[in-house]
Amino acid sequence: MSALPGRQVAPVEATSDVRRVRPLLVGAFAAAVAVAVVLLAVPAGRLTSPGPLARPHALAGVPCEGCHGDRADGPASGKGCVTCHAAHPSTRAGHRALAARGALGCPTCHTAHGGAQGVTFAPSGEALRWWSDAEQSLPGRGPPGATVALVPLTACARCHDASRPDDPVRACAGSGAAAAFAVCFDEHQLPEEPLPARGKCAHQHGPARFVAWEAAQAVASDPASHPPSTARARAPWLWVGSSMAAGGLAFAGAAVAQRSRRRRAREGLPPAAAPRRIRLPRIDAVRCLGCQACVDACPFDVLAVERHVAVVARPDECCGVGACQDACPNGSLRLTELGAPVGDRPRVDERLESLDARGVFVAGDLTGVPLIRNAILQGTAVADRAVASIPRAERVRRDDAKRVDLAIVGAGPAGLAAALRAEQLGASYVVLEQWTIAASVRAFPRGKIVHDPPIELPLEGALWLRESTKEELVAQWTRIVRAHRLDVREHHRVTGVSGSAGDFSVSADTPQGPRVLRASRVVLAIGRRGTPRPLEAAIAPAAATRVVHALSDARAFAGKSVLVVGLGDSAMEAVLALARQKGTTVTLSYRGAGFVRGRAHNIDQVQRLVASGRVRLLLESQVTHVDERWAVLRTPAGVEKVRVDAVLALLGGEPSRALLEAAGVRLEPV
Amino acid sequence: MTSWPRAVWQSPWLRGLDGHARAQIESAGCMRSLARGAQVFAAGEPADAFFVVGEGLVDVRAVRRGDAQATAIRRAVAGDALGEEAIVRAGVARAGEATCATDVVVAEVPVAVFRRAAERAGAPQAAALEQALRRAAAGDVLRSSALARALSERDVEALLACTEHRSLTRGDVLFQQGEPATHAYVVADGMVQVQTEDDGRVQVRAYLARGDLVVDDAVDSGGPHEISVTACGPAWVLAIAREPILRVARRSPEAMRRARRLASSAPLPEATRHVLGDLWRFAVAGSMLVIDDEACVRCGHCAWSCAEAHGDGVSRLVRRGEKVTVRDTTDGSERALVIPGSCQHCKHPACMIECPTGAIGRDPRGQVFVREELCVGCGLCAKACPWGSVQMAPRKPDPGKRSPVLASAAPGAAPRHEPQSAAVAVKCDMCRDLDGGPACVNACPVDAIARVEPEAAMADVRKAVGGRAPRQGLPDQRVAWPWVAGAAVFAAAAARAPATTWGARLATGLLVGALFLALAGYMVVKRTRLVRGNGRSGVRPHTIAHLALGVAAMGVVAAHAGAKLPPNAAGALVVAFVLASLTGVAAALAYRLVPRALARVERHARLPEDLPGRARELDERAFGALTGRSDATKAVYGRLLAPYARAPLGWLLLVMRGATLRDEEKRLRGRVRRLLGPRAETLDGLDDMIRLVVERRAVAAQRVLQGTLRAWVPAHVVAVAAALVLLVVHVVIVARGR
Repeated sequence: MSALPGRQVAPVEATSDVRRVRPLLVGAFAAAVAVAVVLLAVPAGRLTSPGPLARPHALAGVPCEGCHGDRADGPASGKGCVTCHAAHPSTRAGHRALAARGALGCPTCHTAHGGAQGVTFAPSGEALRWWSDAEQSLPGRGPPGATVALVPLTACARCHDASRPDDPVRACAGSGAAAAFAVCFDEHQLPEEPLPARGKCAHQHGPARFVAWEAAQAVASDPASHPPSTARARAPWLWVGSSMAAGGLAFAGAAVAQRSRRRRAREGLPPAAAPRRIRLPRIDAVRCLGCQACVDACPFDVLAVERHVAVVARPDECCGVGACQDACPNGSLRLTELGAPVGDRPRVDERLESLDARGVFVAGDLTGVPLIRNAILQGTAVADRAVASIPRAERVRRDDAKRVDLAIVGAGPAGLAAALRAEQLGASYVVLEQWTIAASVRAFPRGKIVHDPPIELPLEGALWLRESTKEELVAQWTRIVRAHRLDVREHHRVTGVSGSAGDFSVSADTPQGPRVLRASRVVLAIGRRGTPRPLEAAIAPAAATRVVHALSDARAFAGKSVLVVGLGDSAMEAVLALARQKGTTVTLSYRGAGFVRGRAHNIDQVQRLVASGRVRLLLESQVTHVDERWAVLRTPAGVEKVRVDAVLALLGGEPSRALLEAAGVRLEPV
Repeated sequence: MTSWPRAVWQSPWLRGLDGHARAQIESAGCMRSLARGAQVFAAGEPADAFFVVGEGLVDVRAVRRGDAQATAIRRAVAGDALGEEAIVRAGVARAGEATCATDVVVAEVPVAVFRRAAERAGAPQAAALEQALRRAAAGDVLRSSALARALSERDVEALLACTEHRSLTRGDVLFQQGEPATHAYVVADGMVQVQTEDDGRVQVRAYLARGDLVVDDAVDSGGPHEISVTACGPAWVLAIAREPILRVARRSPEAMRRARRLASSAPLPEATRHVLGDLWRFAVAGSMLVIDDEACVRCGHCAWSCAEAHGDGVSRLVRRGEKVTVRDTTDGSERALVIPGSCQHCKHPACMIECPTGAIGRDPRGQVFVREELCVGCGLCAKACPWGSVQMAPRKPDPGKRSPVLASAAPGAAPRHEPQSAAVAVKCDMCRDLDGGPACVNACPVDAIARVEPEAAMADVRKAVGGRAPRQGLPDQRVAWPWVAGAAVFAAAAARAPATTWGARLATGLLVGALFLALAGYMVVKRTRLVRGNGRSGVRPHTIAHLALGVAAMGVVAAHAGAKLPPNAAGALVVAFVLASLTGVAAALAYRLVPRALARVERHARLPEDLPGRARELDERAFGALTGRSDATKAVYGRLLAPYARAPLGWLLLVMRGATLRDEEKRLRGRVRRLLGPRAETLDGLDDMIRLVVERRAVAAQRVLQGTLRAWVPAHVVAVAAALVLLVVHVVIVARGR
């Protein structure tokens, strides 16, 4: 079975291709419902009406039942017309015969909806041309008060064909603009019975009726006479438009809801507990499949498969996050917490508060739990607890320049996370940093991928990027510090902490000289890097600047000769970065006899470089002297002189014990 | 207590195993009696066991590299081993065939069991046994390699003494440019690529496969290598120390010269975008999913139908992947294809080889599938797949089901059952449970997606791997325009004859109703896979019918409703139909016009949701690449390149210009050169920067174009839904009115 180091399992992905269908269906359904609701709200008559009501009827407010009887959705028979207009039977024999059989009624010719039109002369005698839902003033005069209905030829089309020259309708039809309707001078006789009171209609049927007919035809023939373009039915557009809008909104809403649900599902995992103690995987050798899932899940090569069973090969490197436990397919690997705390780390309680100096909290690498991710978790948790432990009455106002709630020492991932949380909680705080933001992360080799564990952990706030290089991470943090206006004071080196919970005095060396700050609680997030361990060699004063303790950009050393001292992960990563540069000569010196620690991947790569002659490895060697051009090493083979432009001493660092002791924080006995 | 013949257990390969180990091997292996002429194994079979001859004679024959006919390599007698290559790498393809020269009794020993039995029993000889088998395997490789003709049997023995096995996984480096030459290599299995690296840009110069000799001039001179060699896929290589090889070369220089097939010629054409950039992937694919990039309308039906067909909402296909240009084997035309993330059913699937429980199988038609009931969700297959085509999905909850615990986990114990794992491996199974071929291929509305065998369909692959599969071109698109044009003529004629009589209106109304239902039926047809293709290329007549019927319906509606718009339900129906038609026509036009433009501005197929992140990533990469550069480079970026990348309507210019990204880069480089004159040549990292900003602008173009492709369908669906309700209302009203 070949090992497949570093490969990650592709997570199941619900792409937009798959997700998109549901909002589409929701949108369609909403549109259908919306149009149905709109139609229910519209009076039934309007749904069936073939067009807008004739204008005189509309102005007179004739109700639907007036013409249609009780049923508003069937065609009107014409019986209702007589109640207002009285009976005006046709003078033509054919029409009378049809009317007698019930095949012809008033609405047959005088379509009250859609096609209705005519001319009305105002009391002043001015002409008003009207259609179903529009009117237009036109020049021309007629008998005041007279209204002449014009019959659209489409109403006659059921029986007559106006295009035939011998059709009787031809005689009535107008010409020009009036060609689409007829004025039937001799169609009706006067009402057979007296009109009710004969009041309203009396003036319609006087001798001037003929004049009115003529005048109306003249007005209607006017080329300027045409229905205005606004006379289109707007209602259908409104109905359909509203349903489209509803559908669109529902589509968008469903898509947004889906997205936020997915985000919640991703982020809504219970917040991970800030790991406090060392945890180690324990493997049930009988049930272990030897499938390597845990080995690949582990970012630190803690696990290995030997004889088809996983074993904990390098317990010191375990981060306790539990990627291996989650990766194990059959639960044969479980993380178990070690009973006793590990030595040489601050004595803290469950809340990461020092047991010996109450009010002093510890977060980050200092607690012995590695990983940037853990540091962020712990920083957030510690800020929560520290702020919660200050009684409300003792909280400091944020504009108080002399006192703060939290003094956070160190602006690494833990310190920044604590500051961010304090900012969110509205507590007053200050971050004191001896160098710059995330100095230890900055010192990683250029382009180093800051590890992204292969499992979905809950997000720890804004500080984490999914997978990023060190540059991106530092840039992101700097952006966050600026965006949230975090009070980070760089180049403030804390020299001592005194006092007790509620009233600490934090003294610091600042560029403006020593200052003392008072704080209710202190968070120590100073990491384990502390001060780099110095190179124990005689260094000529002129060469002092040539000895550096961090490699931030290997490109600066292109074409130079570099001596790297140390064989830890950071030294090996530096060697890898340097060897990639053009023309760089790299010599690697180490006290020990071989590779003892570090990630397998790094060891592999360095050994490859050494085998290919790209890097010279001097084991069991000790740098004794460095001057401007040369470094002198004592090796088993004798004294050796190596030409160097720079010496990179990556010997690890010691935590600032002095500060811990000054603050009263005691370490676990080893 | 053991039943296998003494000759087997006394053979050098198994001698010294204890009784427990023997019992385990006997229970897992088998003893076969074969008649004269029968085959013990054939060339090309995947090897997972080796054989030990109990009695009789077996001939081993193999085709030497460079030969056409098989040659006899050796004759195995009782106690000899056969097919030892299995010990080196599980699943390796057998190099030769073994035929019985007499009646033969042969023991088959599964390698995994052999190794586990030997190691767990703690046999001190385990390593020695394995070493002996490896040495024997190396002998067979040398005898069938390109070098074989130059070697006497004594040479082989001499070389074997200084031969090591190197097992490589994809991407592993055999040696790198500049490293001193210490070994010559013989490829025993798999494929390696010879490449040169110039400023980090890799140029593939040759591919070497089984039996080839990897030797460059550096081996003769002892100087540094001028080439790098990396593994294309899982490979097994014999490393032979330099000195003995040189001795052989001095004795028979001619044979040696012929064996050195190293191409020192020009690099392969356009290695990055060409299919030969990753020949291995195409050479091992049994059935590869490809999407015609210039036809694909990015509707996502393929992925959706995949998730539907498997009933768990997990698509085995992600429409995202490399773009390559290939030539068709049948007509030689160049095609731009996207290789989406989907299983390519490898001929020697890494996932199957890695699976610890045998849950992955390969059926006789070459389809690789997962047996979910055996899967323990360890994810090894997903990690093994070089292209990430296996995903780990949550198992469909079925608490009653339990899976048998593995024999390997508890040897000799009573069978136990454990709850099934929470995760299960999922991958394309070619819809083997469905009739009519893969759902994705059947669902594509534009015939853009197909499953092809690269060796049969792509001319370059065929040439490079010497394919023997029958030629089978890439699928073509079905032509839709004659149907649509015919429908448009019909629609125009219908619109000119408005229905005035009641009878005509009834007839046209019924026709419109029928057309409308047929159009809406498309929605059902495309979702329910009622129409099935032939498995190779989807047959999409229903999409063409939808387009043609839609155009025809517009004419019939015009005839039925006339030019008037009554303010009633009928009028609303006309409005809804007009909106549905407009959005439909817009979608059809976008489908026809946009994919080509989109294909031009893409380097890599991406999903719409990838694009915002991609834009951010490109910005950050540009800043990353800028740090530490000279002030001149920064100035060029600030003055010219950043404004170019961020120009608000830059995407429009890019689309309108109709240029490919490569042309655009050339143009931009020209501008920088005109601005700076000869100084432009001295700017470091300028080319990288130009690539980044051009892609940044292209991302904006991709977002707009993908949006254009996708926006119309939701509007169309919504309008159709409204129209369907209105149609019902209209029909009810008309029926009641009469």
